[in-house]
Amino acid sequence: MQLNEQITQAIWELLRGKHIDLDHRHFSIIKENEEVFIQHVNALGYQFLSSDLGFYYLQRDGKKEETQTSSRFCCLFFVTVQRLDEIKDTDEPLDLNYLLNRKGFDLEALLNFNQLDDTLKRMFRDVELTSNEKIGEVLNKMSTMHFTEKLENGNWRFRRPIARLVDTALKYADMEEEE
Amino acid sequence: MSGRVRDFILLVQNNIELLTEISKLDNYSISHQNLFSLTTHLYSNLTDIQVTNKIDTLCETKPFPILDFHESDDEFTLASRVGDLILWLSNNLHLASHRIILAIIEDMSAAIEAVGNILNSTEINLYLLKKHMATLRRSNTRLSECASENLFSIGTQIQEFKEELIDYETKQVKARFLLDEYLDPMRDIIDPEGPMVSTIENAEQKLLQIESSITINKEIRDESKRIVQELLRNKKNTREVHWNALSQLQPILAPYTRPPSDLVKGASRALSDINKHGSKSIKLWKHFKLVRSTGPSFLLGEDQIQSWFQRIRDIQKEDIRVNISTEINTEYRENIPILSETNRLKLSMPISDLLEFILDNFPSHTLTECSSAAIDILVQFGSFESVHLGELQTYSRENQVLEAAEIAIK
Repeated sequence: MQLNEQITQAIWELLRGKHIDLDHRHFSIIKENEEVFIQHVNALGYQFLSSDLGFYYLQRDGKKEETQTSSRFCCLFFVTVQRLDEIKDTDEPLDLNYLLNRKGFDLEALLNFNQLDDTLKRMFRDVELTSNEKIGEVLNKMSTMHFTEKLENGNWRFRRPIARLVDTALKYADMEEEE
Repeated sequence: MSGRVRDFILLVQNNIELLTEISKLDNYSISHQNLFSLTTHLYSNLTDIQVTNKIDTLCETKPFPILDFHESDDEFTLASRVGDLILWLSNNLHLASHRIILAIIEDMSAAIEAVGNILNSTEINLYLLKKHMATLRRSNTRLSECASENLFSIGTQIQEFKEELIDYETKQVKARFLLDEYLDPMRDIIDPEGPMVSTIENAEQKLLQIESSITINKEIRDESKRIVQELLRNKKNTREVHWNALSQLQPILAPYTRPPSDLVKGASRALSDINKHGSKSIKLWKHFKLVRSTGPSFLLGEDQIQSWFQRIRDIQKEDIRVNISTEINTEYRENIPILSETNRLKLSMPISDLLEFILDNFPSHTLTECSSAAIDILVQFGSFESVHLGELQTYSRENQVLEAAEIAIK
């Protein structure tokens, strides 16, 4: 069982909930030592998961704090998709590729609590997002977990791991189709 | 737009007369009996069973029932969002609908046909000719008024639609109504091949025929010339106004009317579920599991993780074989009690060698544990004037060896 400093750091990042994607400095060390990572994180009670889109992350049955964070991320993401669809002025479909645009989106303006309609506000309140500050906190938290990244121009860029949230939304689309 | 929303709109459109009547009532409420009578009156061709079915259908719509039945009051209530929407359409939307414009065009068309019949007859009835030309002129003026009013109203609607803070599904419904009721039919009317252009061109022909006819007096011919000019000007204005409206409104309405991507459909469905049931009951976290290693909920604390890493490093450094034979006596050892040992030390004074004293009293503890305890007892003892350091001594226990100065307490 080889455990050098780089592997240790990578495990630490994964344990902190971060998603390590192609752009991350630890991506290659994980790719080369997947077996070592699987052994270690399994020993700690986690599942080690890799996505074909090029990122790694951990999973385990959620604790209370994690389920709250999860609900907030989902709610914020779904509202973002809806708002992006409202302002979209091209025929390009709103899908993962659209979200991964490197120029990013002005999410702070798009999700401005005071500008949202009552229904969206109510949904945000349901997950205890009651002000722009709280929305900002969630965006920052998403950023620390590598779902998003704040660019120098103030826009927020979605990173590859956002594919997980896209998959979650698609599950709901499938439910609608089934009905 | 999802199939569900489309079906919903279709149902509202098919029952618009009934829903409009209910939206005018206080609190959008109507008694069971009155609703039945109203429906029978509005849709006189329906049998009683068909009326009941119509009401039942309105009570079972998705995403929410258009009519809600309250058994306690024996009353139906129109969903407030539908009521508001209908009021918005009937009260605030000051657009002259395509039906009004089409009616004006039909009036013009009838007048032109009448003019044509008069011109083709052997004897021209000037009185009737003037009368129909006056109708044509009046209709043309009304068409012009409609165009200028629409120009203002469409601008207002665009602004309101953009700024209104209403939910996505209501916007979808409004957008679909605007398109179905105004923009699409209007486009058909002003189309180069549409009824407005062809009627005006037809009128132009007939009026030019009057203008060139020497058998008709000059006054009528001049009037005919003026009407042609007005018609041509109006045709241009009306088309421009409505083309502008179409080009401005359509991009704004497009996000609400174009088919959504699967992602948008899913997000919209999820939001609708959150809205209906709350985020906790739909258990979003089941579909999107997260781990965060910090905070009180984490399986292992930060210290445990650090020591886990340390343990792994130690294992890598030396290959330790751990004997787990049951024959080995793994007796439990308590820590050396510092306070009681300090007291015992005080009673046993003088002590020639403190470490030796502790080693004798705790034969099963390791040399490291005993030397740490010696320092702790010394600190607890506190009276340093009684402590005397002697020569270096070598202490050993099992495979541990320590070289330290002898500590005597006198």
